[in-house]
Amino acid sequence: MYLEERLQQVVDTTEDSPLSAQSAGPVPEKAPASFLRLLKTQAKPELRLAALGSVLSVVGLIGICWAIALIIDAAVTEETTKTWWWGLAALGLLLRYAANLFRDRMGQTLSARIRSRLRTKLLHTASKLGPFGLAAQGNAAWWAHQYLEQIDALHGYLARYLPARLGAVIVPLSIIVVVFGVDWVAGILLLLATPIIPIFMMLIGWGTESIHQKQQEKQAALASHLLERLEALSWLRKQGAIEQTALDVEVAADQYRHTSMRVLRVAFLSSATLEFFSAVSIGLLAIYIGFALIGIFTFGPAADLTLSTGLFILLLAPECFLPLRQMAQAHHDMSAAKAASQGLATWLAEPVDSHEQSNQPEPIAPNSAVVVDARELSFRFADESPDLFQNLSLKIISGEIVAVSGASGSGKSTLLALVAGFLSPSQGKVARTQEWSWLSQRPYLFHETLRSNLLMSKQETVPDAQLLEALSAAGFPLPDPALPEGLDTQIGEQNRGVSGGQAQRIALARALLKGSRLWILDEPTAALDESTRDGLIETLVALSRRLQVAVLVASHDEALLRTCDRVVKLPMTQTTTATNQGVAQ
Amino acid sequence: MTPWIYLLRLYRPRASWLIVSYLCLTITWLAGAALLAVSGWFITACAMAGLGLILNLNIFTPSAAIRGLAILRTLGRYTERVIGHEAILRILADLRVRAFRAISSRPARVIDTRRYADVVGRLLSDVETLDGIPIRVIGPLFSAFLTLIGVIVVSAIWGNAMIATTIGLGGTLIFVVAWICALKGRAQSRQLVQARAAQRVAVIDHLAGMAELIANNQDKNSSQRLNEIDHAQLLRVSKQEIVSSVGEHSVQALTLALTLLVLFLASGAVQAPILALLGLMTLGLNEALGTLPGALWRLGESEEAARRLQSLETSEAPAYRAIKSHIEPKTITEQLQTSIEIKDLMCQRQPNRQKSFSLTLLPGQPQIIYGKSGSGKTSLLETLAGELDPLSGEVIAQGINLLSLPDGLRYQEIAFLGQSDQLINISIREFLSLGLTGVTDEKLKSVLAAVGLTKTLEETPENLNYMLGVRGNRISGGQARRLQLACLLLREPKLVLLDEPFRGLERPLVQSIIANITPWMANKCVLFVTHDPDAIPSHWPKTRWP
Repeated sequence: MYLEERLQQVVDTTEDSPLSAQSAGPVPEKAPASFLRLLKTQAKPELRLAALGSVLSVVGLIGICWAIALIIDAAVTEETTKTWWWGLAALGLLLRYAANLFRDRMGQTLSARIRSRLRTKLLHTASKLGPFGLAAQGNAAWWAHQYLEQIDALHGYLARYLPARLGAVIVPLSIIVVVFGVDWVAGILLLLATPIIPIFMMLIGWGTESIHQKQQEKQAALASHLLERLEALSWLRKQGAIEQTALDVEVAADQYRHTSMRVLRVAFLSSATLEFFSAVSIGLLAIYIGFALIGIFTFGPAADLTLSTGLFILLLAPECFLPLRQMAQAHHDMSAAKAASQGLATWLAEPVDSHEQSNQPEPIAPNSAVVVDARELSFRFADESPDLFQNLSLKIISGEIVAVSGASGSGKSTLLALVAGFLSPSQGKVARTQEWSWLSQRPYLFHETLRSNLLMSKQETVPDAQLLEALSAAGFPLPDPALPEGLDTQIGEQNRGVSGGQAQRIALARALLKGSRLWILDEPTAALDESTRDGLIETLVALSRRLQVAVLVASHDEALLRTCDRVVKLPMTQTTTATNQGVAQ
Repeated sequence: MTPWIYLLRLYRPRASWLIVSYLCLTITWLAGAALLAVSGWFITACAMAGLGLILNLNIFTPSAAIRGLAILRTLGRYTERVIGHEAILRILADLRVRAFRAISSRPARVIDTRRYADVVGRLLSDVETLDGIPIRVIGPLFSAFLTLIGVIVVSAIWGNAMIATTIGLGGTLIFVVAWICALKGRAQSRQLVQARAAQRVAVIDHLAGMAELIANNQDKNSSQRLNEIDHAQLLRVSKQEIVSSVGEHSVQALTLALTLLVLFLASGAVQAPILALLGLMTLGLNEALGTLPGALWRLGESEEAARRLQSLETSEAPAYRAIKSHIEPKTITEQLQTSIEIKDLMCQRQPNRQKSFSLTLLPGQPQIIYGKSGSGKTSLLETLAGELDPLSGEVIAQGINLLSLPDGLRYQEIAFLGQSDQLINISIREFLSLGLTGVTDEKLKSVLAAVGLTKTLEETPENLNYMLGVRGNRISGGQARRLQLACLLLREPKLVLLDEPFRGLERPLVQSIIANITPWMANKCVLFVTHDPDAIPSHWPKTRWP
């Protein structure tokens, strides 16, 4: 019940953001897997080249091993080594070096290409959602985390795991084929050992997969245990509970160690198994080859085995197991990618819709007296949900101040978002002047100087005097202690140093400099206290009257509503138009 | 103290675990190289025996040795893993406690609340970096060195001094190449970190400012710019990856080249089976030397992480210690009621630099502070609580400036409910009794009743054992506020500072809480900051600030 209360609270605060009802819903279980499959298909071109790299690397290896076998063989009969053997070894070495670099590079290139595409796509999705859709899902930090860390979490999967998995098939297979060509008994020995390893690893893996997951959960829980105590440090200090909490941290870490070790001991069996099979099969091969050479084994191909072919097989054998080990090491890359795609799949699985309709309202000519002309708008969040409003029409002319009022959730912000073009109407059309500005509850100031924040859309340079004039018209004359370096003050994290009211005024100055004919204001005073609010309303109304700027403002602020020319009350009954319902003051 | 000495001290308590795990790793690697070497020796000797060049070859000892080495290698690997992780997890526990103590030992006023989240985030990632050092950095370096020594010794015994020297020099060269690549990568990674931070700011600007960007017709440009930033970043990353790949594969290629060189030097100088043994043993070094690039690569990150943790631990404002020594805590706490005088206080982040704050607080007469948003009410309370250095002024209680007291003593005198809620996932009972001992359930229930939480509490089967959830996500914002207020009610401070204590609460509830806590406030000086002064008894004096 506490949780429900909490949820209710969350709903209460976001009710007015139009998309809150349209959250993505639970992601189906299979989404991450199919998302990763999709990525794999896209990775094909480079993966093919990476496979080629693996093959060439094996070719180089064969050259080296063959040359070394010949060199040692020569020592038995005390012949002198031939120059071409050394040449072959050197050539093989260079080929292997180049092929390995090439294979790595292909993995990295494919990862960079796909991540770059996903980022572009995520930005596209973000634009499509618009500011309201974004906010309904999470704050900017959350989105930035998706854009940066979550997409980067795919890197290991793309750059290492996929090529390594391919290599784990290609390399052992080519080596076994070559060994078969030389001596089929040795080939069978290797063939037996190699598939046994994945089977064993799988058997152990079935256990370890869920163990691994539990382990990750515990690790995350432990990390958040410390994190939340550090976040609440100030409170703990006030309560004099620092020492007590330090002990608490120690106990939690210790418990974590106990449970983890129980799990890890089992998990390490899988790497030990791999080790055991690769070591034992090398040993078996050595004994088989030795006994064949000495003449104890005479069956099958053993009789034809020479020292050079025997050494060659022995040298190749360890390389048969190396790619398997690399794949095992890259396994956690895959788990990381799976975890990340859980979230990403929602935003990135859909192919980009190229002919989607644009949100943008139709432009109205700059000299027209009408600045907003919305006709018969209907809006619903999803196809199956009920209409938030139907057949709503709204016309605003230059210099008019129109307020939209209504209870929370009645669609005030939605109407504004439709006029702004942040959302598209389900039916109807919006036409709007191109010269407009947006002022929200908490205007966003960019991590730049005050000057660039004011000049956002301006390409040309504007004299400082004009900027200062706009600021002072907006009621924020410089110099001000909040902005110690005047126009060159760097605006920091979360509008650092600037209060909510001051940010509103900077946004207003920005709008003034842009020379808009329409201001759309979404609850501009909701986050302000009484005296700041009154001052801001006064400035807004005076400026609008003086400059003949039309204002469309969503608010339930009585003081603001009183000063407006017209009030549109939501929710509206069907087929009424806002123009007729307007209350002239 | 350099970061490395600092780190060694940090790991010393776990040294025995670590050394055993390093030795196991060395055994694993040496067994791997020996397995190859003995196999090579064995089949070459067998071939010679087959040709009649060696008589009476003992084939049982070598084949037993081969089997033994295979098992030794497996055991070595398993033991190394288990013991190594035992050590890592112990070190992790040490580090976490250490990190917590390092931050919490800093006086409240030294901590910049605005940057605190960054500091915590970085600290936690540093802890993750540092716990891996013994296994991922020191272990490979140490064991690779021992393995190399082992191989040199064998080659000196069965080969000659020339071959042993060559392997020694070759090993050194490989180390140097790996080191150069690591240095190159390290220089790049600093740039990467900075560029990444700039990229994050750009992304946040784009996403958080999207409405403004669209309104100014800049959204397409901004997307375009983000794509360019990402391309530039991917290019930087790819340069670093090339360096890392080159390092890794160069070490492999050099080991192979060293093998060929050993074969070249040894052919003719030693018998064929020994030639095979030396050649394959050198080849077997690959596994050990192959870990060097990665280990050296991490060395740089580790050094920086260690330096940060070290500086966090050692930097402490020394001014407090001097004051601490000549204040007797009892001189203040014994006398219960006292008035408090705030004299000419000037705060940081105060919009009006000319005006200072002076006020005399009397026990049982709460004061209300109200004023414009952004005018520094919260800063004023933080300054009064001693969490923000004042520009000037003092807070006097019985002739002692409370602001000069160290945190521990000061918080005995001052109870402060700050603006933000700070809850952790412990039970209600544990949360209320943080920093207190021997508080009875009856007492806990009485303070919960005072803030109107009894009813909601009784609806849960857990009652006082109800867990608050991570960051208190199992209770509502208003409940969190009241729960924290209840914590203060269990204490007997001289000065109570409350920053919007009733945020998000209905007016009747506020009034009943005020009525319930009035007896508690009777002998204390209380300062309220509120945006809604009407909900508070009208006879309480109100002060506008600034």
